[in-house]
Amino acid sequence: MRWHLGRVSQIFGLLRSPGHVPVAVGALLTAALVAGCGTVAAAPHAARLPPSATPSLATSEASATETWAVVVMGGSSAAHNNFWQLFTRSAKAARWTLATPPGVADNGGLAVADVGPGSLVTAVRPSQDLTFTPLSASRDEGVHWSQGGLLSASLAGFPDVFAGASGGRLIALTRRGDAQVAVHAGATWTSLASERSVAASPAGRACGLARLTAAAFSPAGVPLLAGQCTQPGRVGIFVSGGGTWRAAGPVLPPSLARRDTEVLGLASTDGATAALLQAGSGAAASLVTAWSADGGRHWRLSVPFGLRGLAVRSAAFGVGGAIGVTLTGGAGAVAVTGPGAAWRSLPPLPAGAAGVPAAAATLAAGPGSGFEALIAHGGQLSVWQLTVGGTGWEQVQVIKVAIPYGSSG
Amino acid sequence: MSGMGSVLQLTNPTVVAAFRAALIHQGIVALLIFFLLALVWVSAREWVPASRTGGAGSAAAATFAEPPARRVLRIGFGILWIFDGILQAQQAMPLGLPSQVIQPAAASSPGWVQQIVNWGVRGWTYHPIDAAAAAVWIQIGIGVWLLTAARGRWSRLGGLASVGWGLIVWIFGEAFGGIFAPGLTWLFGAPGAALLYCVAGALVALPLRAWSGQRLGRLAVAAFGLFLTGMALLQAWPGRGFWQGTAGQGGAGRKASGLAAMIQQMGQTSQPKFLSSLVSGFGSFTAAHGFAVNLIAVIVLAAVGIAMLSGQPRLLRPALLVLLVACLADWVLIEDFGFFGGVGTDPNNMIPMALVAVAGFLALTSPAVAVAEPAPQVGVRGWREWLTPGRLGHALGTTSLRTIAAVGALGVAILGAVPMMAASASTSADPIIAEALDGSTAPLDFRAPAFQLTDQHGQQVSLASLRGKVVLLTFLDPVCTSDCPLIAQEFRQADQLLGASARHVEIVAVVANPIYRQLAFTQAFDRQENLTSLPNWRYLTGTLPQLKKVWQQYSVAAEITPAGGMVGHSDVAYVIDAAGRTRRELNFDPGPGTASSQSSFAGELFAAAQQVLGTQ
Repeated sequence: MRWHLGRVSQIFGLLRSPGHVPVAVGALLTAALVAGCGTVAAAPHAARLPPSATPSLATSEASATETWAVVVMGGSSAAHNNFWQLFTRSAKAARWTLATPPGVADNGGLAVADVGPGSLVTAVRPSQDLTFTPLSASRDEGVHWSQGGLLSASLAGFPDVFAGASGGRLIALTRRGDAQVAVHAGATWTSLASERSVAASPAGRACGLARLTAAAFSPAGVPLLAGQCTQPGRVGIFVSGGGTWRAAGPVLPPSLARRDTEVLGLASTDGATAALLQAGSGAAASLVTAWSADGGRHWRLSVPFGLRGLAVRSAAFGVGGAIGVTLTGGAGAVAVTGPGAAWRSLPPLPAGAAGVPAAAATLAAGPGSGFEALIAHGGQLSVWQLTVGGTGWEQVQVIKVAIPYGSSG
Repeated sequence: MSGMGSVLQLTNPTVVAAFRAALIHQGIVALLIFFLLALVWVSAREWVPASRTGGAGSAAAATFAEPPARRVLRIGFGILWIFDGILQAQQAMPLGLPSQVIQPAAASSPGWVQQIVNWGVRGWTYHPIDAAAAAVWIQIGIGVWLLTAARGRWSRLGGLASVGWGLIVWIFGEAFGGIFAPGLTWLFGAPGAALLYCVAGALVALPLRAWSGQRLGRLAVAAFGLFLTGMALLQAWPGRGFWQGTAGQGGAGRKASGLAAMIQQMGQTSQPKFLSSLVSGFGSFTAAHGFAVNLIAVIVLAAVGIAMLSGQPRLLRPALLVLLVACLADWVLIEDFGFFGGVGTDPNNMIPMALVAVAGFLALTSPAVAVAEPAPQVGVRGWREWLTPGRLGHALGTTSLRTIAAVGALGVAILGAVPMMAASASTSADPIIAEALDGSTAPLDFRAPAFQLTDQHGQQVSLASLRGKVVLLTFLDPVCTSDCPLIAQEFRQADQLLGASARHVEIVAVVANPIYRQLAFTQAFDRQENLTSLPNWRYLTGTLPQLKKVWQQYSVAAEITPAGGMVGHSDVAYVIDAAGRTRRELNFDPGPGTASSQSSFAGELFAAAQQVLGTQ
């Protein structure tokens, strides 16, 4: 202890010389001034994130008998105060009705499958501490619900991962990446395929399958899986057959042959299968729709629609292959009415729609060949129809929903 | 009701009342300790006549002259420890210290620091009353110890106690003083107030001969100077945000940043309005003149640091004065005194900093004259000789009142520490948290309503079939997203706490959802909550009329909430004895669902089950 005290004192004794002190002070002050003056408060560099290619879970689907749509309502910054709502509109009626199945909190999302005329099955995406997916079934377009089965996993985070076919058959894509099928409104589920097994198939390898993003049944009731390809020019739509998975997607035109593609949406309505594809990414991305009436053997493609840096917010499928898409950046929207039709831009969604979360707004096909916009603000859903001439939107219905804030803990 | 999770307020009346009761009880014990020690001391002095002449103790006192620097440290930090102990007695401390002070302090630190801090936080949140009371009495004890023991081994031991507890506070309470987090600045407390308590304690613990001459003073002043110079460099370092008062886009988009933002945040602490205005005003000034304020800080720190490094007496005095003024200004305008807001633990680091600086100055400029340690007792051949009544009595009789007071202070510190150490041995949290969330209930004694339902294996189960075992009964929704999984885990933990006694207990849940009530859902819930391996777990369901009857008999509501809401149902637990009589009804809303609240509910249920088991 004594040695250390002496030694350290000697070292600090170097500064005892009077002449050293002002020099040291001056040097430090100079350094401080230079440091301060030299500091340039760098303006925060806003990192430009690429637009997400994954649409929100808000979506809608129309069939010959009814149309359903799911949007999130509530709008609180706390996720467990956002509640997904199901709205249905009968083909005979002009007005929408709240049809959310009761009995389970749906903060995590709602997926809907059409299993026959007027028959719907919903899957409640689990949230918080719930880890499995309860199902509900309705035979009267959502007026009355009964408990369905359950899927012992969570659905994947894409809008079209739950689909149905007549007779109560269901197909689901889980967060684990495997596809399962069920009968009787989900009473019993069996494994159909895993993402790995599809990727390992010849078709999957040719596509360079990165992930599965959608599931559906063909009009003939054959399971279809779709995903994102890393091999340029390939469309990742697959159909099972012969113990393996075969490529069932369209061939892209030469202008898109060098681009990676991802299936953003997949739906089968009234005898046809429609797919919404994104070819490329970033500023070069384009939307393409594809239609098939024979389970993927033959496809018709739309003309590509250049996204110009925008991204898809939500997609809606209608009768006859109609597809409506809302886009980021100013709440624009585009639609195509079916095979052979061109993309047309719809008027910007009503004022304020750009500010709502992507999951709180969707288009819905109909009535007729038009589209409606369903936009949620808090506990109010407003329904907008295109004006005559299609130059704007007019509000046709408002539905107030008693959001059960705070009920999910 | 489920889904309406309650939050524990920091000043929850149940916890505050329990905290006050603990402090009062321990305070009475502390007074008793001092009273008994005083009684023994007086008796020893009467019993041993030779003690009246003083003996060797008087000779030692005559040669002892405590160095002024040491006295400054001992008395200054003694008072600070007592003040901090009193601050620790604020009513929000048991529940507020971890979430409002400790975890925010560690928030910017690396993960390994947060892990260490969280280990301490876990102990506090599990036993908030014992931990808060321990902090009160340990700190008051150390403070009284330092004030009363002015010399000898007891005084040095007091310094060591200050080092020990200071280190614990510095590591677990201050996240190492934030030295591993970005934004470290002397202006806001670097290197952590508790570290200065350790430094002071270490200096007090030095033998008296270390204080003779100027070496210790020179070293202390030089080290202090080096520290301040380093702080000046850090303050001046570019890119750390201290040179700018605001940041963001021009005009109205610019917001206070760096130092200005920290000051304005301090101004928002609950405190007298004039102080808040003063601090907020200085924050605004700093936002507008960030460069100038930081420049002054850098110059002051650098100048004082260099002056101290030089060790030149003609520079030291003005440097010390400048430092004291800077400490005072910083303490008022930037640190905002440090102890407002209801969970302030100490007056921050400026007062300790000033005390250490003054002590270093005194040690250098007014070194102690040659001092003699109190001469050791002669003729004692080992510690066993001390244990003879005669020797003990003589020792007590010749000991000064100050030393007796110091022993009492040690007793007070132990009084605080022992309950916390005992509580830490328990794996479950204090049931007080559960009681604070949901209240406590009185014992009951009535026949439990009968039921017959179907368990998760498809077997019929009736309450009568469970006769001979204690039944812990609750109501759970199998598709619930929040409360029910928590409650299930609390029951599971209670079952684990029961250990071998669990074979005398059946844990029974009844479905509380009128729609999702099929076996597939109870089985899915069991898998989700890892209850399938619990041999004494039964999840019962039935037809809707059967369930409605049971809900009604047990006063459980199960209401469907529209628009995507969860089924709302009562969160309740019943304890039914082996004869089928209801003995306890516990409100079981799991509240925030933290680890400590879950453990507390499990502990509450376990205690209730044990009580019923014990009366059989």
